[in-house]
Amino acid sequence: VRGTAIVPTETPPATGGFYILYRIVHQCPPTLESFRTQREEGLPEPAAELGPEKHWSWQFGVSTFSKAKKARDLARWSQRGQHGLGAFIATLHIPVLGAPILIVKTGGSSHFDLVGDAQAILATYVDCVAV
Amino acid sequence: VIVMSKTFEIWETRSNNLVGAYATEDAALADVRAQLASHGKAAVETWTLLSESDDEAIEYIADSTGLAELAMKRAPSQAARA
Repeated sequence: VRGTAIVPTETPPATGGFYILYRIVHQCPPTLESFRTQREEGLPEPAAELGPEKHWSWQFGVSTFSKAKKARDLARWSQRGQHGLGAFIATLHIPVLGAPILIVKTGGSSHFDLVGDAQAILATYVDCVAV
Repeated sequence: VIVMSKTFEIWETRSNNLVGAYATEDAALADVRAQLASHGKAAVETWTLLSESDDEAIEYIADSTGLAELAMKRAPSQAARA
């Protein structure tokens, strides 16, 4: 994207052959729409000044956390203040080997972008709870 | 003396995706201004800016039109940039 390669530098911890990641969603159970990128959601492209990483995330990234607490804290905080993020946490088990999903470290603490077809990501969903 | 540091994040709340993480509030607001200049206020309508401290406390800073107004209010003046 715009001539800049995103090189994976960190992977989330794996347990029992799976990467376990947590995504804030608007509904339980999640649907294909729960795993849309900003681009797929029809949101405006980032201005050039935002740089290639944010453009890449807009185009390909689906936000998740490797720490359940981080996802839960953020969703609860949003619910308390009515800041608009989803009120549910979907747990994803992504096979370490063979999943057609790329996991890329972006953003802050324990945040990872998933890159893959929404159907493939939805197939890794195992649980969903309200915060 | 323990000095707490903060990180700043902009979230897009319709898709539940992170727009970006920043070391300073000013850097985040600069991106908001760039997005406003490119696409207008509608482009940040679903953005929320928050901070997170080392102890994982999350604080609201601004969202939607309030975020747009804050970003413009904090724009460096022409004189300061000269």
